[in-house]
Amino acid sequence: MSVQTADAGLDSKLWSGRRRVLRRNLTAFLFLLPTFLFLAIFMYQPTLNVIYHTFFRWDGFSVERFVGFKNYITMVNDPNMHIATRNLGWFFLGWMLQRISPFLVAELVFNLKRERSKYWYRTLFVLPMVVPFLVTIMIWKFIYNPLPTIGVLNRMLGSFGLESWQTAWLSEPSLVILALLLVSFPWISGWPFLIFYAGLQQIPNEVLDASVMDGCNVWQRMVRIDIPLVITSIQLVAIQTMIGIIQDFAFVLIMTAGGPAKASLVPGLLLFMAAFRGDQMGYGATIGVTMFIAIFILTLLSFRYTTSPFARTRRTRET
Amino acid sequence: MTEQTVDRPFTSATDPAQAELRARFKGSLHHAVLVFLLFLTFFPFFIAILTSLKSFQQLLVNFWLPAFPLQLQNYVMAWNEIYRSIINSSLVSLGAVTGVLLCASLAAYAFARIDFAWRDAAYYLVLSLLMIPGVLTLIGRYLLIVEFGLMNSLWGLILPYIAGGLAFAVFLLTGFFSDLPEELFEAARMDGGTELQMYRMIALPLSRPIMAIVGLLTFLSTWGDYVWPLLVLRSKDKFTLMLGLAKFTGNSQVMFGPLMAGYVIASIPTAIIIILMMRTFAGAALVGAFK
Repeated sequence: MSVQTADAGLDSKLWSGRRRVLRRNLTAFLFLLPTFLFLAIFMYQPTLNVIYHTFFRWDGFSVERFVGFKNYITMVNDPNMHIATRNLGWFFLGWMLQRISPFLVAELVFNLKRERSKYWYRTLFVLPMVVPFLVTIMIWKFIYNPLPTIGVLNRMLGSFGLESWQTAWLSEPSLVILALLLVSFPWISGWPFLIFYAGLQQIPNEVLDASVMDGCNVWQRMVRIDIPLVITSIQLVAIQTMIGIIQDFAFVLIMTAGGPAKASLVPGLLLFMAAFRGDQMGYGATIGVTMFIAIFILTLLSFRYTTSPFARTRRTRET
Repeated sequence: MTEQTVDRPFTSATDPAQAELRARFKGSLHHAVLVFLLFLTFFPFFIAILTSLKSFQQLLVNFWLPAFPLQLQNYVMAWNEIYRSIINSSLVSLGAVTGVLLCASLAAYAFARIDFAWRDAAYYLVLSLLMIPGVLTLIGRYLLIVEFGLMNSLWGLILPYIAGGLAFAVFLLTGFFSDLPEELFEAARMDGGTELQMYRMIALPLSRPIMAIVGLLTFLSTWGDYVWPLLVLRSKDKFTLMLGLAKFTGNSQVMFGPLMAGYVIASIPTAIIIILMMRTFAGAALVGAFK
């Protein structure tokens, strides 16, 4: 009898404990419910749907026929895709340099002597960020306007007596990529500058003082101390840039729509055209999945081949 | 400061006056480079503002300097053209920000503060979305919007925007909520507080700076989006600002004044929001977020 009551007591304790766990799980479930509803409907489902349909000839609505790997084979042999990939290579190089180059400007500002001037330069350099990116590129479209009297660049060349250099910058196949890469020159305003500057501010003062004691000049300090210590910020910017470059096509769509004659076509734009202007949803999906795989691999590689800041400094000390 | 001390070992042989002169020269060169870069950075925006105040004739005659009388009616024209799209964009961005903050803070609270079954698995399920590029889901989301009958509706923007912003928001907020001291929650639990009460009374009030950052990022990304509205919206009265501006650009062949005025107007809302954020608490936290 007594054993039985003890058992019942234990049982009820266990039961109440289990109920508490159940309650906790239920609470967590309710907290997570809205998020997972949104993600399930608008993220997971579309992703899986798109991956699944890369194996179909598909217009999104009525036509849906299994074709195996045909879309992938078409893509590999598609001359448009070759052009787009080559263009993307140039954009990749150019934009990567662009987004890393604010590091030099961050160094210039960081090395100023007076706190006040540091503050003002920093503020002024990031101020143009208040202008939406799309507006900036529309202003640059005006700068590149082909009319010799209206286009800012052409007009400028005209006033320097360089009329022969005036041209339709965005309609010249050999110039268009260069012109697009030069947009928003000198490329300072933006997140990279802020992130790099914040990174420089994180360097402990003792390290900077020690470098002064050892008599190293500004250049040596930058190469030996600043870059190794903010390499994580640089890596962060590089990865973000890489993901952005591979997938974004709004910029090219607005500036040139891939023209003239595909001279500035990029894979993202090709996806857009195939899926929404050509009813080839399956083919567009294939390009999307390929871009996803490329981004995935490049991100993994960039994590693998950048050492942590501590490993880097240790190596510097040994040599 | 640093430069002077750095230079001393090398310049100690020369007389101090010369060293002083050299330091001064270096200093002004330093400033000259920065000022030149600033000039180049601001140049397009100066030109845009100048042009926004000119008629076409004035632009042809006097390109580089302000021309009088100032054509303020350019701004009236531009306003009439885009005010509707500014309202639409505001509705969309506010809806997206509210949705992201509400859902993400609830989810992040659960991830950071409640010990439930499959917590890690669920968290990684959310984080894995950070790897999915938006362009991959573009087609799938488009078909969903068609299926739900949300084409040409602002909800067709707001709902996918909320979903798109959630992963990063949950990531940021979970990190922040985990760093809150456990004692606060322990005390509340002693007093019989439920999780929902702790979320409302402790977690939310303490996380205002990070919430402001998440809100700002969501606002800027939705405000500046072009491709998705281009796919979803059809009629002009539904256009968002970026779409409206792009159409305005396409339609105004030689009306550069009103066009540039439109660009200036379009930059004002973001300018106000960013400057307000910089001046208040979020500014300091903004730098801290990128340690």
